[in-house]
Amino acid sequence: MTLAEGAAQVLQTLPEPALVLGTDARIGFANRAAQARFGAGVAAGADLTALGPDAEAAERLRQWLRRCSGSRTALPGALQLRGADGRVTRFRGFGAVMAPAGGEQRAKLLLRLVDREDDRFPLLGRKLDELNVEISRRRRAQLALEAAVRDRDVLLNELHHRVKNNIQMLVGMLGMSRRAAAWATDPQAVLAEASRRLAAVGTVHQMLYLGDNLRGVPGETFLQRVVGGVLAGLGVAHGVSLSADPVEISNDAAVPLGLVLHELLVNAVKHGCPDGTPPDSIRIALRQMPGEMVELRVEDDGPGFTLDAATRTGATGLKLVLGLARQLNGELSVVPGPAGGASVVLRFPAPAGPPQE
Amino acid sequence: MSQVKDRTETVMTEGDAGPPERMVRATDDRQGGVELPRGRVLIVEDEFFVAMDAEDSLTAAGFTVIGIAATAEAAVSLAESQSPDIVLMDIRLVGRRDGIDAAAEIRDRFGIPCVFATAHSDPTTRHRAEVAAAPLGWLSKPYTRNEVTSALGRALLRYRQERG
Repeated sequence: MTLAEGAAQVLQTLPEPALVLGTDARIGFANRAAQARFGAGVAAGADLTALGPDAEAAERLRQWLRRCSGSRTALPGALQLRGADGRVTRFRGFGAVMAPAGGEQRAKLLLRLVDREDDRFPLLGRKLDELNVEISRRRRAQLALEAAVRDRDVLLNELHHRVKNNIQMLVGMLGMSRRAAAWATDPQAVLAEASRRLAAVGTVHQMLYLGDNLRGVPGETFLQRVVGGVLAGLGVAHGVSLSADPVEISNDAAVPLGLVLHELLVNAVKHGCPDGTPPDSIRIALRQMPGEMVELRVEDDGPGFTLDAATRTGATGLKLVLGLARQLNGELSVVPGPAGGASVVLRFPAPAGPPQE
Repeated sequence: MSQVKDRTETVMTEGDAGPPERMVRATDDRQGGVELPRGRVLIVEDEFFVAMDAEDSLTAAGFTVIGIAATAEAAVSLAESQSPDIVLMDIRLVGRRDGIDAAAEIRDRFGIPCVFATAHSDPTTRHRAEVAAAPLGWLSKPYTRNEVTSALGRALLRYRQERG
């Protein structure tokens, strides 16, 4: 076997089309894969450029072959060739000098063709695309999870902060009762009052952690729960009429407002309902006012009182209400009720936006 | 973390019989046998009950509470008009500005030091407070009556020692 025969045999074993041709694109040899793909188009002596789709492509092919004729290493190129089935296919070609020009002999080029539309590669491409989609989906999921963990940490910190603050507040509340008990004729009553205040704080907290809304509670629920809790704690059968605009009581305002409501309601039951007062004689309303203000109004038909007189006599409950009103950045006023009793009004700012840190 | 040390002291006592006994006792108002000083205090706290209890604890221990402020603005204006010796400052306040802000302004403008009282224990907040307001002490909420009086007493002692 000569060297040329050996080379031809090697080319025959290649799975891809391989051609030996001159720089003029005249074919000298085509392996089996090439013959199968291009048929008579690659018969010995045929012009490879004739398989191109147009004259422009033929010219590009000739130029590329000339470049390849100067290179011993394979140069890549893009080709479009018409197969035996008449279909034009895009190939990736690798061309290199096989035998340099000598005498009258033109240089011989070896050209290998790789089908760019080979089915294996689009399949891989599709798989890669799917993987990329999956990766970005997972990345998004991971980002969402990380954000959720951060949110949870923030909420947990917030909760710890609230618990510590609330314990400090309860310590203060009990301290106030301790001081009151020192002077009271009936320390039991002071303790009972402290325990009712604690229960009111508990009622508010139950509301805060029950709902889905982490910012606050609806005004109507707030009134119903707090008033229900206070009446149950007092053990009286008074009817109280409630009405509420659709306002939201923020987490920050809920505890002080609950305590204010507790004090005002206890006061109304104790002093605003003389014997023979008809049921439903206490009216409580929560109103949305202009300028992002909310108004809590507690009215009774009792003898009535004024803020000045009440603070002079040292009513602990009212002092507490005044302090809590300041905490809410609000203003407290007492006006005569429509039927002669007292109407205690607390107005405080309640921004509609998200609560500040 | 001075507030941890502040809370209790571990005291070793050696008895004549048996092994040494380990016991914990509450801090008292003496520092190495020195009686802690008292002074005029501004309380900055937006929780009504907490402010009242702090006022009561401090007054009972011999301090003079010159006022209670619930906002940073009120705190600055009270510090200016009343010139307290020290400010007991809550970090989280109602309104736009927080306690760190207020403490820094009061220290810069009037040279009045502060002790921070807070339920915030995250390092970022602490660092910010240390850098901005150089507090003379920290009080972790919830605190007891003893803790608030001894924290302010120690802060005043330190302040007077540092100033000579």
